[in-house]
This record gives sequence, structure tokens and C-alpha cells, in this order.
Amino acid sequence: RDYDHLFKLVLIGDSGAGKSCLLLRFADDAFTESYITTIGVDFRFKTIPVDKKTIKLQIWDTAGQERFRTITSAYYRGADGIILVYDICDRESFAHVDEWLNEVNRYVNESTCKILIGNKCDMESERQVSTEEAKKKADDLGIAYIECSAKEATNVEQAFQMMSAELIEKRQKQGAGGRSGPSAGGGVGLLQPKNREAGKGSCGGLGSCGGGD
Amino acid sequence: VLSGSVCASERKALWRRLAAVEKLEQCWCSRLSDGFPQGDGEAPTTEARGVSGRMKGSAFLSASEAFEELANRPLPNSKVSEIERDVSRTFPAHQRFKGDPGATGRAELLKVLRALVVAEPSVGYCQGMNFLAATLLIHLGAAQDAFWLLLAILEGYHFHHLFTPGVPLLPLRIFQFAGTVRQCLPRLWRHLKEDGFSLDIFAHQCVLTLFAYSLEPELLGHVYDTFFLLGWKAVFRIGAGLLGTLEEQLLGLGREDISHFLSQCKRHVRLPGGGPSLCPARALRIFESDLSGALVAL
Repeated sequence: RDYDHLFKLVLIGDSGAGKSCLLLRFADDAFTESYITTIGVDFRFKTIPVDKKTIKLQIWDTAGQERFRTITSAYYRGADGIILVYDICDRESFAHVDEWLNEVNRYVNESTCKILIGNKCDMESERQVSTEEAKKKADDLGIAYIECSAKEATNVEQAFQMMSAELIEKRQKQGAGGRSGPSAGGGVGLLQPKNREAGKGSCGGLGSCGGGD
Repeated sequence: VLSGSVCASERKALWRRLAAVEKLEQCWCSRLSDGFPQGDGEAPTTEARGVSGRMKGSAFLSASEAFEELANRPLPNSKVSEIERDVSRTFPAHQRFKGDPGATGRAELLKVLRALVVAEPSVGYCQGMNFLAATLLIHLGAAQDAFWLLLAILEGYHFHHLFTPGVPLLPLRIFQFAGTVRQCLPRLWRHLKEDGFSLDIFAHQCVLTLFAYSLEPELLGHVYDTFFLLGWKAVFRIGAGLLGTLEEQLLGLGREDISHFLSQCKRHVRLPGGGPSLCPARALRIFESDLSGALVAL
């Protein structure tokens, strides 16, 4: 394999916060004003160097609309990192941060690394949430906070670097290469959502129906 | 319809007929003339009833008046901004929808979606609807025609259950989509399975946008022809047909590339000359015989 660690990251947050734009900036170093609505889920791979190690990131992008949580929650399972995005020009999206965390905490364990991103920091004149307020919020929640602009490529790379570094540290603490969790190896089934429960998110396992098991 | 020979000028009449739009319009005109309640279910005040209040007891509303009535009903700001956010993210490169937020095409799209949310308050706005409404606008021209067809898709083709909060019908449709692909394209299915690739992502997009994510808007006319004729079966067949036309290329790709390739689907579904190579009707013919058994089982 051509990497030292593989991490699964999931982008969550309100619709229109800029999740897809952040991913496009990070994966392709591009930005477009003419983005289309994300339907369901999508993912990208990106390999980056962090502290002399090669890190492969599998980053899932999810639809932000609340009614799709029954579908997107299946993809939270097995995530090493959660990137919660809000729009600094949209107080509503900031107000939903707690809700998003509660939702995601139902599917991930305590060791999952989380980060709060305030996106669109290039639009200072339309800002509705101050940096101080967001920082305090992140402190209270015990997670890191960073302000980004996908449009101007501000701090986007740094946010992913920060998360990767924290994940490497966590994994090394867990014992050098000793972990064989679902996301450690990255074998077959990597792209299958982890939620196989009947009922809730049941479509998640359907891609494998007909022989996945 | 199945030979793919419907021309654009016939489309409006064909779609209206297949989707029983006239009946739907009559039903809504009468409902509105009787004072259709506001979204929250409370009895409307005289002022809030607007046109319907004035019309009550006198003339029956026409379909176009009924559409205007629904489109102009007040909606909470949060609901309007939810729709507006997606209006600018719907076919942003298409000539009809590109430009300023106030561009005509975008204003019409907003109007159609607003009217729909008023007419179907329990469903509300669901992402994916924006692509359906925009496709109908492209092919039908007038906002009111697009609105009635969109309402017919919700009420007559079970999209009500697909779009309603929690998207309850989506898992079943994804299951059926995957089942059709497994049945029709076993080689491709095995390849995807070996690579650990889940078709769910692609299937979500096909089902929720009726292929607007994967095909050029101009090609979608054929998709809707067959959809209005066959209903959901058309969705699974076209999905399998689409993957079938791309099968050879997909078989040569690994899982990381498959996802990227499928997200760029629009570019691949073309003839070398630049014209569209996938006629959904051709895809239908290809799979017609294989599918009959599979679809009965569904």
C-alpha cells in the first residue's frame, strides 16, 4: 500500500454551509460559484503528507438537508474524523451545531476526532457569528475550531492537516499499527456504509445485497 | 414513446395525458375555489384566502389562476430561503438558469417550488425537486405547466413518499435499483462488488433527480417520456441501461475511479460527434426481455 495511514472523514453541517466547496478546494484546489446541490452522499480520496508520513484521506460529503439524515447517518459509522461546517454569514447554521453533534454522537465513539469549521470567512461584511463566539462554543464542546474560506483557499489545507495530525497522534497512542479497526486497513468494504442495522438507514447496506455477506 | 421518437412539440400534450394532469388541475381548482386552507391547516381568514375568497361562490378558478394563487401564498422566510439556496445550485451552467439570482429562469424555478410547498405542506421542499422542476421548465417552457406536472409526479407516481421528511421510500427504490443492475448486468455487478463499491451513491442521484445528475437536460426529455408511461419501472430500466452503455469502461476502472467516472457521467454519455449516444428507449429495448422477470419479482 502506498500510504502510512488511511482515515475516513465525514463532512456534515447545514445545507449551503459550503461542505462541497471545501471538499472541492481541498481535493482539486478549485472553486466554482456555480456549484450544484449535493444529492445524497459523495466521496473523494486525497493523499497528503503529514509529519513525514503519507496520509490517505477518504472524505465523505453529505447532503445537509435534515430529511436526508436517515440516509446520511449510515455514513457516519466508522468515521475517524467528523468535520462540522457552518457558514459564518448564517447564524442559523451556527445555531444547529449542537444538533449536528448530538446526531453524529449517536453513531461514532469518543475517540472520533471532531473539528468545527466556520466557512466563508472571506465575506467579513456579512458575518453574523463572531470568531470569539465560535471559539468559545468549540471550547465548550471540547473540539478544535478554525475559520476557512473555500473561495480564497484560506485555511482549508490547514484544517485537514490539523485533523490528520491529531488522528495520527491518536492512532500512535493506541499502539503502533496495532489497531485493526474497520478503517485501519482499508480493505474490501471500504466504500460500504457501516450501518447494517435493519430499518434505520437500511438502504446503506443495499449496495452489497446479493452477496456482500 | 418506446422507440424514442417523441418530438418536443408533442411532449406537453403527451406528458399531460399520461400523468392525468387535467384531472389533477380540476381537483385543485375546485379545492382552491372552496378556500384551500393555509399550510398550517388552520381555516383561512378572508384576507389570507386572497383570490379564492373573492372567487368563492362566483367563478371557478382556471388552472393558471390556481397556480398563481398557490405561488403567491405567503411562506415563512426560512422555507423560502431553503428553496432559494438551491435555485442558484440547479443547472447553473444552463442558459435558462445561469446569471443573477433574479434571472427569469431562476425566478420561475422559485415560483414553481414555492407553489409546490404550499400545495404539499406535509412534504415541503426536498432537495432533488429543484432538478425535477428545472427539467420540466426546460422542456415545457411555462412555469404553470411545469408546476402541474411536478405536482402530478408527487401525487400520481409516489414521489410524495420519496420526498417527504425522512425520505421513507428512498431505501426501497435504491434496493430495487441495485437489484435491477444485479439482474441485468451481472458482470458489472460482480466487478463493483469485488472492488467494494456501493452503487448507492449513483442510485440516490438517479432516483432523487430523475437522472438530472447524470444526463444532459436535453436528453432528459426521453427519460420523462418513458417515466410518465411506465412509472418507476422506467427509472430502474434507464438506470441499468445507462450503466450498460458505460459497462466496458467501468469494468476497466478501480473503485476510486469508478466514483469519479460516474460523477462525470454527463461527459461520457455522448457520441464521438458530440451528440447524445444514449437513447433511453434504446436502453429500454436492450433490457426489455431480461427485465420482465425481474420487475415482476419487484
